[in-house]
Amino acid sequence: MLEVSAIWTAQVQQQNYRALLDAISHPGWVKSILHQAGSPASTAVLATLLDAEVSLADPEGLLEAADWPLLQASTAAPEEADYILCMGSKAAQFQPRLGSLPSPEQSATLIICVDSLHEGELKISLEGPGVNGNADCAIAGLHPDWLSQREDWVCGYPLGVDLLLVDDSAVLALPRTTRVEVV
Amino acid sequence: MAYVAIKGGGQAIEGSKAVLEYLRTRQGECAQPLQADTIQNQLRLLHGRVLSEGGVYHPRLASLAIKQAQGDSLEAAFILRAYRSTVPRLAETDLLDTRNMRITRRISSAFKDIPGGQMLGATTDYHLRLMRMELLNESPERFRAVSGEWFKDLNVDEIPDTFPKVLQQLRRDGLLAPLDEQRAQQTPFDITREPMIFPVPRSAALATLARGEQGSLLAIAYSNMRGYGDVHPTVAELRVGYLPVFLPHPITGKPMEIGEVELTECEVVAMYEADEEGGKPLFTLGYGACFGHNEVKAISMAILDRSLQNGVQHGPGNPSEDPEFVLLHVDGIESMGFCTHYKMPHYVTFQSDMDRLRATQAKQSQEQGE
Amino acid sequence: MSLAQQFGFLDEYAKKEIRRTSLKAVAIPGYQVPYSSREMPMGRGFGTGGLQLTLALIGEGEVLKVIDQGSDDSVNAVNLRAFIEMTCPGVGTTRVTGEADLIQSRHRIPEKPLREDQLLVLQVPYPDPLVVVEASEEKRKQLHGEADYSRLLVKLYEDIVKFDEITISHRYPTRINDHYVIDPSPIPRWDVPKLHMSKALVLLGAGREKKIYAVPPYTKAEPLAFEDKPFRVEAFLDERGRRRACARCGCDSSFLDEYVDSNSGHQVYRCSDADWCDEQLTRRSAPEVING
Repeated sequence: MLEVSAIWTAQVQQQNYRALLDAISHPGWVKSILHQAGSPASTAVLATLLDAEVSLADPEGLLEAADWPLLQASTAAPEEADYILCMGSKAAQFQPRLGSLPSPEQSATLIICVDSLHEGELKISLEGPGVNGNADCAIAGLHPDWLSQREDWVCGYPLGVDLLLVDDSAVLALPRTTRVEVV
Repeated sequence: MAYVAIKGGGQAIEGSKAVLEYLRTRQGECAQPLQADTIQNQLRLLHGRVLSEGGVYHPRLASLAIKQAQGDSLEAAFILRAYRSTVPRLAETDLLDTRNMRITRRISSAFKDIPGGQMLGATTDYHLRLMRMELLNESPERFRAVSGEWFKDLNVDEIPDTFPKVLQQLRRDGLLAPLDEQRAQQTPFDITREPMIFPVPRSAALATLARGEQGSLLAIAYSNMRGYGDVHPTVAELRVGYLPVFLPHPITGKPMEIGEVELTECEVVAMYEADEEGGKPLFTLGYGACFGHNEVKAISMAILDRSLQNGVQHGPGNPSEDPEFVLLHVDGIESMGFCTHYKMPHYVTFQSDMDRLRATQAKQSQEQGE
Repeated sequence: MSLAQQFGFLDEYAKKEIRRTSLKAVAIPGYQVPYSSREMPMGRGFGTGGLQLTLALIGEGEVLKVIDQGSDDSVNAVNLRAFIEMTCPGVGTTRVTGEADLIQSRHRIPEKPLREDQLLVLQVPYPDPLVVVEASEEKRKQLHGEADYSRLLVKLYEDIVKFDEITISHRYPTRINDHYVIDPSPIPRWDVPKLHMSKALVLLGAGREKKIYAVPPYTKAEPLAFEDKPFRVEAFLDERGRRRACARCGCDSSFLDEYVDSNSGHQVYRCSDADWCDEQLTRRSAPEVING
């Protein structure tokens, strides 16, 4: 646990960025996120990635009001946003940006808060770039509809979305290239 | 042996720095190091060029960059540009209106007389390019006397601060489209923060040209003037002067003047085009502006702005109308960096080249032997 | 007046943009993600793209290796390393591949296989392999999106018709994860297979062209080729068709630099990867192998 406000420092953001880079390079890896006591790890993830150049949608109002000015990001509807903060227990009610064929990066990154990335009722097996063979994960607090919605969003590769699943202290990434099977 | 040449790189770099420093100072015992003020004033056109290509209006650091670069304008602009990467952006100005420029020179080649009058100001346009041998041994006293006496007989109060714009007249007469006030309120594309993904808006093109390298701009604009294009510009107005810069007051929010920048601005009028929505045909406009006093750059930019707009509208018919061709090749920092990089070791790639050539040669002799 | 020094030279906003861009690059393997690319105090073309990545990636306590042409002592490697040491206090540097957390390189991938916990940053002058067949970036982006590389294959085929060989020596077009074809930076063909299913993440940065792309770990990286004209790495065969060995360490399975010995006038071959050569030398203490 860190002092309040440490997630806004350059040093912690560099370390959290590397955790995110590791996570997205190795789908299935659960990487620890340095975060404030009493504040969700998702806020630390946002603090690492966002600034005034990008927009954030928070349809469930998960982010503390005091954190908005620190993030500097503009607000946007989920259909328009660069980043979307979501609640894993509730299926998505929106259609995120998927990018375009010439510019697939102009797509949304979803930060989905779940209960646990270490154990849970949802057992999945991953395959694809970054995964050596396959990787098994167990997640708690992710509504099963997320995975089928994700299927719809990523089926037109290179268009798609990238998911960052975050529990209270760690992150697991599902980039658009990962093939997910429920086991 | 030859292959140790690659080692000891650190030592070689230190040695190279030392010899460069020696060359900067080798004038001898009675030499005076160049003062930043001297560069800013006596080499003012070089100075303006570096300010403009460096993209940071910092006169003192531009002087330092010129001194450090030993007069290489590309290198000096580069030093200034790299400095920019380390400083945060604190605020953005609102749209600045060049009608408020404190003019030192303005001309129009479209009209014999213009509201406010032609004002030739400082230009070498009508000077004979003859050597002024007397400057080789200039007396410091005479040198100082020129500027000392300059304002003596001038009635400063009689000189107007600003002049109306020539384009205002053309707009009033319905020969040019009215100012698009709504578009003026749009946030311009920021080439320093956003990658250019083509097609890009006109503001991205203008910003790129404004920081562009003078020679590159001139070469491409010249190709259009000569016949690889047909802008056929008329300089409606060229003005040089100082533009007041306003920032909102941190507490009251009211715009307050924080200083001024020297600017050259050029507006060219080009051949008229039919209005797509059935209105009357109108003249078209090309716009150029850059930091410092640099008329060649401002005119080149105005021509390129026009040719690029032609290209966007009708499809590029020649290089100067192709936004990718123009905008990706006019930045001096990028082009000179890449040009100089060829001096770096390329042993590995050349080894691969030799491997391919030998394989191809071997194959051919094999076939010929058969 | 002094240059305000913050860790990593770049301001934090610039780093954030590079970080966001690199995550997208990993998520879309081989796709060139545009970014705004700040000016660095060294020339465009001298590794500013790689350098910006390194500065955004690296943190205190990490160990960095910088290579140019396989050597840590090459002028440009020295220059970049000195700049990083100056702007990133607390970062260690090494010449030993196995000791590095992060490796920034120009033109080579180390011979020693990289590990999962290591990261390779490659400097890229020309990011787009399609530029030889299509000048317009707008059109190239469409071709990449559709994975339409037919014109590139035609170009390779024309080579074969003309020379009976694929003549591309380095920057060999390589297809990543069955979709995007990348320019793997001017590494020799020798290094291309190292990208395939690499354990380490490879990030590629083109500063002047303002693009970042990636080959994630455990990802397919396949050089373009034809069934009857397979991709071939540099051969290093002598006149009798035997594999040449390094004159210093005796290794006959590394990429070699070729020199003319100024004393004898003969060609001499030595490992291009300086650290690899040292390691082989210590391991084998092999006698000098004179090139025949």
